[in-house]
Amino acid sequence: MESFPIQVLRAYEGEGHLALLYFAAVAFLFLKEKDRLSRLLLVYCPVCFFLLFLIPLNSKAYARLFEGETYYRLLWLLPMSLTIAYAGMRLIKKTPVFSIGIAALLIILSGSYAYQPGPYMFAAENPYHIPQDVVEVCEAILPENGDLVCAVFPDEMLHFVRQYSSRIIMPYGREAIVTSWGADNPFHRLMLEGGMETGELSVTAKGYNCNYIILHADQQFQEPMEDYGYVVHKNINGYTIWRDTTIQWPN
Amino acid sequence: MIKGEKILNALFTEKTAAKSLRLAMAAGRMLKGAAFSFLCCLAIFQLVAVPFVLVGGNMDQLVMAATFAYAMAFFIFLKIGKKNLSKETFDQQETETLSGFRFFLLLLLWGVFILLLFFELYKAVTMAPFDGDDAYYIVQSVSAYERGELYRTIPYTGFATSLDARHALAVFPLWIAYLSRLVHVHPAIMAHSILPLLLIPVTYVFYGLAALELWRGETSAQKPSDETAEKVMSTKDGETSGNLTPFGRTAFLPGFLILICLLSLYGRTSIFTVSTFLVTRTWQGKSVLANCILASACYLLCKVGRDGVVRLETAFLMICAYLSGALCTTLGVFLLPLFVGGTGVCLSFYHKSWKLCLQMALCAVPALIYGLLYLIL
Repeated sequence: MESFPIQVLRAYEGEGHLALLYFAAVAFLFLKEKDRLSRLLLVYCPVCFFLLFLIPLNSKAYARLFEGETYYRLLWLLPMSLTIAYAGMRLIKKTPVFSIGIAALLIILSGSYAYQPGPYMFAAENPYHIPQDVVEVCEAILPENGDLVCAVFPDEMLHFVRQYSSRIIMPYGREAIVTSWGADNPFHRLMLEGGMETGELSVTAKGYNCNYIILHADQQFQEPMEDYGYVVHKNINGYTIWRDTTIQWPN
Repeated sequence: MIKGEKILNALFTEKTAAKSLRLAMAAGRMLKGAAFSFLCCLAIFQLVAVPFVLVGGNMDQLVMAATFAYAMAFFIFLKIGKKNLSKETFDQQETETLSGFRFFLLLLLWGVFILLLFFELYKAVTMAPFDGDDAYYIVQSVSAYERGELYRTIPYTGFATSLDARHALAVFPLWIAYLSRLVHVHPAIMAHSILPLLLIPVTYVFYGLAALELWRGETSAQKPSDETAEKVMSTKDGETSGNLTPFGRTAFLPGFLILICLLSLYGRTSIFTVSTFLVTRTWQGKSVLANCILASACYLLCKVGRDGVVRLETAFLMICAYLSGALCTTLGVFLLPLFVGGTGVCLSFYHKSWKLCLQMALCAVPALIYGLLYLIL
């Protein structure tokens, strides 16, 4: 079984081969670099750091002081970018343009384009870099007098609401949806139900003094929300904002 | 001489090239000063903000205190800082003469780098990479900006809580809130759309400075000395010295920066790499540590290695780097001393100078203080 540091190294390398390119650059400088200080700073010191990183005892000591899952941050101490770029400029001394070209090609082939569209890379919809739906929903519920307001949101909005305004209090946030954190929230479980138990939802929300409940417009209920004192405050882009007429919080 | 070269020599005379080079050197010094000022700003804020957080102060008080501290620092630097800003990093090229073709090559390479940089900055502003930790850090900034609270609410929900000591010593979110208060811009806009335009170029400035310090060794394969400095100053076009040809010397800095830029643009091979943090989490303290601060530490170590001694300016910047590292993330309190200290010991052996080791150890005192605070709290 691989040691923890090796597992971390593999995870760090990920899909590309930049780590391999880095070690190739170190080997190249070890063979070709004449300047002793450059050899010390770019070859000998990083190699020593790397060897210390590989020692499992050090990873255990790190885990005692910090979270073990952040052990990969010690790899930041290896000056990878500096070394690869420096070695790249050294490839062909007489024709530096070819040197740059070859090094650039190696980097592009070994790496992965940072702005590739994917599940975590979106086009910004506004300068906040927050989904516009969230901005509009928050604007619809924020009191004009600067007071606080309590509201519960669907999962896809949870990360962004309080990035827009800290005047919006939420019964639960990101901690409820990160499964590895193990924070089970009954209110969150209720919000995930298909045919929502309206009575239980209402009681739970009123327990948190929730002024608003934001749900998908096509959310199904076992009983009408109006029976529990809720009215539709606004419909925005496929979301329905339900206002609790019985809650006077914070006043 | 080929025809093309004749045309280039006619277009780009030595006089034009020399004038342009002097302008570029002046711009380089300004960028260097701006990068150093950035480090100083972070360091000053760390010194001012942490006590406020620990005693339960509010954002209004912090804004007043930090503004006062910055104003004082500005006047002090006006008096004594300008004179001491080292010029030697850029002086080498000033004495070199450039032929038309070399100048054209230089323009071309710098043009490529500037295009790549602008592309990266454009993408930083127009793309919105998702990171869950923003639900913590940006919210801390927004809470401080809107409600004046300093780490006294749970960012995910907004409920009140006791001070989270682990994060309280790293006040980078409060620095974002401070900037937002100064210019009346929402912290989410400040963090996501404005700060990358500062942080990314500053990172490249530090990498460029580090490369120039390493490059200083090109004129001599020996340890630095006053004789070496004279050799550096007297380098003439056409002479090969050290390992680089004249073309190599011209192309080195822009070529180096092009490769650094490409490593940022193509470095997202996993969620853990430094490049990934630069691109997807530019505004978070962890990313600033991994990119700007560690790049500045690389530069400072290269400088100490070349100089053989810790000069006053270097010592001051090293202390600023340590404080900035602590501001960015609590891990910076340990990571930076580990990096600088470990390399510093090697440099002491290289120069056979225990004085160097002692000088670097003294610079690390602020980091030790924050480390002790972290362990106590």
